[in-house]
Amino acid sequence: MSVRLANRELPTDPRVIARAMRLRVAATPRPLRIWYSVLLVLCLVGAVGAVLCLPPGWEVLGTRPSFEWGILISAYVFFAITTSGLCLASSLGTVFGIEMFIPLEKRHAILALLCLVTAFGVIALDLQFPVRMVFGAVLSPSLLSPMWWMGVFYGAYLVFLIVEVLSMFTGRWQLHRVACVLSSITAIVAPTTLGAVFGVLSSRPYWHGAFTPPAMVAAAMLSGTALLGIVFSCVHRFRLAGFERVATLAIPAIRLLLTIILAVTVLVLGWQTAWGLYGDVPGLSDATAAILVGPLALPFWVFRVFMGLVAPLALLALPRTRTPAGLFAASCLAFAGLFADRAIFVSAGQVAPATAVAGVLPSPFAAYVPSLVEISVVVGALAFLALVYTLAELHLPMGEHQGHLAGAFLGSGRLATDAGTAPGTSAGGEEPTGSGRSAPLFDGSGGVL
Amino acid sequence: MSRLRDALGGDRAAALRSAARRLRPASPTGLVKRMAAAAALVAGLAVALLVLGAAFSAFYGEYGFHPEENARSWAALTPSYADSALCQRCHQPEYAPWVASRHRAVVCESCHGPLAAHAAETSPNAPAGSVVLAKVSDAICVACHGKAIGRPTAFPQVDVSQHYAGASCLWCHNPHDATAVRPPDIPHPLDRLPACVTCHSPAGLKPVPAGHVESSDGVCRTCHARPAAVEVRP
Amino acid sequence: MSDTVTTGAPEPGQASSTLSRRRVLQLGLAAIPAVCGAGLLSGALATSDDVVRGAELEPAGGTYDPSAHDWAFVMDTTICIGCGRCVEACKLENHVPEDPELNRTWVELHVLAKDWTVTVSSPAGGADGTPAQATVPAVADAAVRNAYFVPRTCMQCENPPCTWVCPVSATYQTADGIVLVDEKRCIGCGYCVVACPYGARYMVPAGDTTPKGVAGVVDKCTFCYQRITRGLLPACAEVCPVNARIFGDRNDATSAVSVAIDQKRVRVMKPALGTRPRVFYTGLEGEVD
Repeated sequence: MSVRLANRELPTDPRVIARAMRLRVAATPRPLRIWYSVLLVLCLVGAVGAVLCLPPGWEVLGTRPSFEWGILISAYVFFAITTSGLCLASSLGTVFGIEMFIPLEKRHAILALLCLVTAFGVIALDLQFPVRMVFGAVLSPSLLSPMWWMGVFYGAYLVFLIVEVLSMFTGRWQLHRVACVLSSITAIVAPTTLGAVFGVLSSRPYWHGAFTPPAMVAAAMLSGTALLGIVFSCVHRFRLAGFERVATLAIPAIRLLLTIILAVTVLVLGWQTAWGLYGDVPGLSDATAAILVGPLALPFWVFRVFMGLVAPLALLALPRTRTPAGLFAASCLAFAGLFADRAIFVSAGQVAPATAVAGVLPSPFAAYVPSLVEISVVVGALAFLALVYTLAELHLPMGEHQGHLAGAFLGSGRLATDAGTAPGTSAGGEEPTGSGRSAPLFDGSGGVL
Repeated sequence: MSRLRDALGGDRAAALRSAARRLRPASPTGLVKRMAAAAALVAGLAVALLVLGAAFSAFYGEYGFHPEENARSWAALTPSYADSALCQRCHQPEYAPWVASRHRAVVCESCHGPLAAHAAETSPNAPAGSVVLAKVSDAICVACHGKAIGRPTAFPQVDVSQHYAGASCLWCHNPHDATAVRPPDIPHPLDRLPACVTCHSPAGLKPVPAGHVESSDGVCRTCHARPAAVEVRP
Repeated sequence: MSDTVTTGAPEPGQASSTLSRRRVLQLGLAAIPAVCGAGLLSGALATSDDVVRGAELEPAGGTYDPSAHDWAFVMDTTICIGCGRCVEACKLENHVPEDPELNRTWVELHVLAKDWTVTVSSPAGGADGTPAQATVPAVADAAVRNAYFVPRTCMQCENPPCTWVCPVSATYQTADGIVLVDEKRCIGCGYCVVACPYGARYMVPAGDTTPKGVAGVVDKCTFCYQRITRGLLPACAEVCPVNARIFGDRNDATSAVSVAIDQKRVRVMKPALGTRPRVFYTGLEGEVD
């Protein structure tokens, strides 16, 4: 009649389960129900697209030999660098112990893990034979291939992230510290290998060069910080676990980081564009022209420059918008702008053909239109990330943990409160899950079950 | 487990002893049962490893690093185009003039397509016409000899719209003997004249040349309407 | 619902039901020999298949030693007439997809106008030849300084970028210089397609298959490996009506390609990339890198 799991009785009778679920859904507040429904629908759309992507053959994608890497690759790059950037931003708290960044710990780890899983899911759908890649990378690797190194480092990063998250929730602080350091190191190396995938190709002058790997790290910092800004503004707005310290520490920290990295990105982008205009280097100048005045001009000026850089900087700098809501808006815009940026980057390397490919010489620019399947996969991936993170946020103890009390962190004298079990009940701002919420699976104190 | 951890701070030896005592079976039959279970587990693991090893070696045979074997599989594909010298064995009437003509650099398969299968399946005693080949169309002549930018000026090419448009190349030219055969000169113009066939019927003024198409005026004019001074460059 | 299934620790005092843990263990132990027997049998069958296949792989006419040959092409753009026989022959010989946008080899038309603008075009890869009436749009004959056809194919580079970017080493180079794709290891990531500076590769669409019968992997010109190992010419060189594609073995000083390399002034495309192609061109003007 029932199953014992983790010292709790769970019913197995379907009618009892259905009734419990109905009660639970009724107890969920309406905005949250709408959020979940929208995300579920988008996830379903993504699932349909994913199933269509599974058989080998690329007709469902909009790519052609003259434009082989499309929006799925851009989305993979985007998610992969976001996961690295999350770790880079919060390693300032975990590894270097800067107190401002300490409240970011739990959420960044969960977010990074989810982002990386999403990235792997998206790239597995782009590959024609993803299972072969797993075996081929082990049995017959090519050590000269930057893509192989990228796989190695992101795979290692996945392992370190899993260890970090699990050790965080089971209270193994020594292991957690080691995992934090290892994942921070990998979080810096992995996006450089991803940049090297593009940077070593002398056949694509726009991508070619030693600058592409560090530029990818800069982009990683921006997207990671922007995502943290989105999440923590919501934590503050909805008074989720640990929101008191969020307002005083995390939000100013993210604002500082975001401002710095936006300024750096403006400089990087400016010089990258100027570089492409000097001389008439074949391939490079055509690609830069495509970005500035050609087919990529609209996404570049509107989404990348204005929406992704100018607007967030204005929101962060102007005194009127220096609020958590302003940070939310700036982060959203920067996040979306960075997605556009990676899509423009991947497209620019292919849009100006330096040679005919398989007998096709597109003139003047190679054309690519993402197919519906590709768009649905990307949308589904974003929705999946949002959905799973929302579930994690609401059902896992997300307050600060006591890991830094284990020593070796600066400013660890203050006792961190863990708000996992009793979030803000005294303040009257209930967690928006209502009375039907079941006790979390993990003990909020971080101890072993 | 928690008891063990509690014991870690304390008397470790005593804790281990009490744990071992709990694990030891109470009766001899219990001991036998546990030994049998352990042996079965070990045997099962060994067998599982063997199975995995066999599967892995078969799998590695498929996916592992065997470039020489893959190269051999590429070399083992069947060619569709044969060596053009093969055509000579059965098609001597076409081969003899061709090999002496100016088309001798154009191999048989260049116009007639892949013929390896045809050469392989046709026996020397097969009656002529038993194997049907797609007739080569005029477009193949134009593909090489149509006037186009980029072709070397020394290469023989004609502007097809000015060169007997509507006529088939094969009416005048024999591709196996690539010398142009020009229609004979007629010393009178063809405007405002009675129908050609009035004079040129088989019983009329001048015999119709052999190989001439016999039909209405329109067909005659496709070749004979243009002045015969159209030069075809050698 | 009666308790026919128990999970977790059984309640004390409960009698053993129809499917107890012991029963499951016994069935599992009995199944292991069956499974391993099937596994060993399939492994043995796979090995014996390999043996049979290996015997058939030798090309007709005896053994072929790849390291004794160094295949190369010389493309003479002063002779090529752009008829497209080579493109059609390659498609028929190698089962290249009929899609006009997927070609292993193709012919480009380069038109250099008197005002120093360059127009390069390749309609349908040049497969239909250049129609007699077609000239480059808006370029009158009088304004053309020079125009010529350039046959293009995989360069089989001595330092190929496509082989070292492949993450699973699915693309490799044989001892006689041909770059081939192992269709069983290719994962379809497209890195080699993007990395090739000469645009020689394409991914096989799902509707079509390579001669090996696989879709979703990468395909490219192989210099008709099945022909050159049998002593024949590649299909494109075989059918060229003007002998613009000169193919041969550089190890043989009397071969047509060695003679052509010695007698004509040849150069490669994009020499600054350091790829060292095996396809040489003569008669190109400076607008071609």
